[in-house]
Amino acid sequence: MNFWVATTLDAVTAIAVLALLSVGLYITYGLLRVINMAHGEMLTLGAYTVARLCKAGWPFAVAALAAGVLVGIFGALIERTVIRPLHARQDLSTLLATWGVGLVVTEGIRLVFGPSGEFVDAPLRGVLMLGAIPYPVFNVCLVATSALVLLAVFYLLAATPVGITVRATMENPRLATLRGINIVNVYRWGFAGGAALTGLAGALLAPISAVTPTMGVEYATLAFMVVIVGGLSVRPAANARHCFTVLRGSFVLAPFVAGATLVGGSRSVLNSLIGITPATLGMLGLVLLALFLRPNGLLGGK
Amino acid sequence: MCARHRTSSVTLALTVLVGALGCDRPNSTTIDRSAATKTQREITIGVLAPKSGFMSGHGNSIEMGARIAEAELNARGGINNAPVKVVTLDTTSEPSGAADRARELIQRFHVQLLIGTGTSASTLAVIPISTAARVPFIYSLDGECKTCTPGAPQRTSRYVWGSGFTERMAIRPMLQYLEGRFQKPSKRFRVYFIGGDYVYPRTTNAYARQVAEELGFVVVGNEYSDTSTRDYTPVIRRILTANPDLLIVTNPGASGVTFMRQALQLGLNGKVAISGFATFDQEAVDAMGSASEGVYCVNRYSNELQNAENTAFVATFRKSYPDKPLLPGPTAAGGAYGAILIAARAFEKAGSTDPDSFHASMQGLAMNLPQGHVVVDPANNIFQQPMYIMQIRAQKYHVVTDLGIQRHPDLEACSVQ
Repeated sequence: MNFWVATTLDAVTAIAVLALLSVGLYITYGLLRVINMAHGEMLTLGAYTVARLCKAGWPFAVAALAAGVLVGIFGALIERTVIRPLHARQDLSTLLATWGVGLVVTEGIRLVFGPSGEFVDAPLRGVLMLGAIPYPVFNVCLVATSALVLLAVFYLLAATPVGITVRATMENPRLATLRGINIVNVYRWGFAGGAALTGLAGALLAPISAVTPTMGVEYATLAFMVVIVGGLSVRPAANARHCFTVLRGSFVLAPFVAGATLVGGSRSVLNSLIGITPATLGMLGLVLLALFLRPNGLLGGK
Repeated sequence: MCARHRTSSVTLALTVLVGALGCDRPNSTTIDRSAATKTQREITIGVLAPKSGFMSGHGNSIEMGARIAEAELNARGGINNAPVKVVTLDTTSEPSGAADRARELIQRFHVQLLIGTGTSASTLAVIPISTAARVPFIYSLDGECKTCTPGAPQRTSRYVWGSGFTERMAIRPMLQYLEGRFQKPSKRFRVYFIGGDYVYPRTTNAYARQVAEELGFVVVGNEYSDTSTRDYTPVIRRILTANPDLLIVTNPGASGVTFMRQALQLGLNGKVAISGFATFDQEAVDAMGSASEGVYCVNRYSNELQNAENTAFVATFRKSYPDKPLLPGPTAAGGAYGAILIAARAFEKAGSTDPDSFHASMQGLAMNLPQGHVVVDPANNIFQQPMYIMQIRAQKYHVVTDLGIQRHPDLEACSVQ
């Protein structure tokens, strides 16, 4: 019994962490259809920012928020100077350009901070004993923050005029333009917002990761898997019209939460059952199966 | 082409160009050097350093140690009156990168000596290349024996030397010390092994398990993780459940740092004595922070060693890199600096850079280095050297015990095929 409780707790934590580090990519890809190859490096920037601010005496929570803001500003800069000029081409130019941005960020971090890495002590230490099961207090903070962020994004997208504007642009940019929506502004703020969320995720992961110039690479791979497996939209069941109407905003996030559950949850559960390397193989197998059976995403949108 | 399209193309090109320039490049003073312009009497030493990827911390240290050796040798007139030039290329912590860079160093820069790399797999990728080209190669990080001849495991190579210590030199004395330190009365000593899923951790832990069983320990766990792992919580729970006396972590680089940071969150450090091989090198300890507190490790070097050579080396390091918070660790000191100095002595003894003369000169060559007195073992080309048990406190290595000079037995467990 203890084993399954611990496994469930660890899986929930893994899903929450993956959702947090993927939501930014989901927004930028869903909105602009841009594959941001610098996603991992934005996460790394967030981690280094919080490390340096904490070393300078800032409280962790404030430093993490500041990291999000700074990476968001960086994202806005990248959107203006790199992505916007290339976006209209609708080819792989933005992928290549953001890959270049990622290289510059990685080497810049290495030049400024050195290759050895930084560390950040968690603001909350110790374990909660849930019966006989130790659960890190900081993980509670991670899961809670992830839930708050997702709820905030859900509320923004579901219940605010801004959210309607963003969803309209995601659905049909040309029609949105004809309706008078300034999609250039939507793209700018959307990309900046996605970058900010990614920077925040990097800051929160810093206490439990190796903060090195290349820390974002593996996390970015997982984030891409989440977005691709989850898909970008939902096909509601024919008899679920009422539910869809009521929960319509949630379906914007449901695909990528499903993706995070498959990728993060499966790997964590399998890790507990059969060990780390087989768990990675098992997770990849499930991802491939999901793509084969549901090529348009787990919740089968258009 | 319309103006907007032209602007887009220019932006794309500039971004890619800046990104490519961000990639590592060889030392700028040698980037344009070709065989035609190279000074004939210059001695070029190629350094294969993992300056990107999961072992990037070591790559920087390797280069720093090599640069100090280069400056010191040139300050005293070079080798055989020929100036010394160090060329460092990034292996990206991958065997394919190491092999490509080794070829480039040999074919483009015509090096007379190779040192590096960052992993056993990378070293194994370089050995056939350097052997075929008859370029002496000193692999400068710790790891299993790799000095046998490719295809002839009973014969010592004429072109490969190992300056780092092997598991045979470190594990038995370390386990015996830790058992004595943490043994609980009337209970058999319980050990749990974890490691990265590649050559060095698997071979090292396999031998450590064998020694542990010979010493009468109980091995209560043994598992490996791929280097992309970012969530060690289930592993740490298994360790806590097994309740060992000692945890051996052989997970070099960023993955070991991640493991220790997460172990700290689950309170593992206070419950289990922790040690390991290559996990707690200087470069990783800086990133581990408080997670490394109290860890025991065995290594060939500490910047606190009290001898004339180390005092001078640490002073030179601080003067050369005043803005680096990093003090020299084993990778910079014994790994690069020491390897180059011994090679220089061999070149001087040979009076030339002929590989066969170099090989003859290296046989039994002895030298005092920052880590202590080192002898190149003629039986297996692996440096005999002093080993130390250290405990990490406030991210510094404190020498607890000097284990004396250790040597690797013949060509035991040589991993070269």
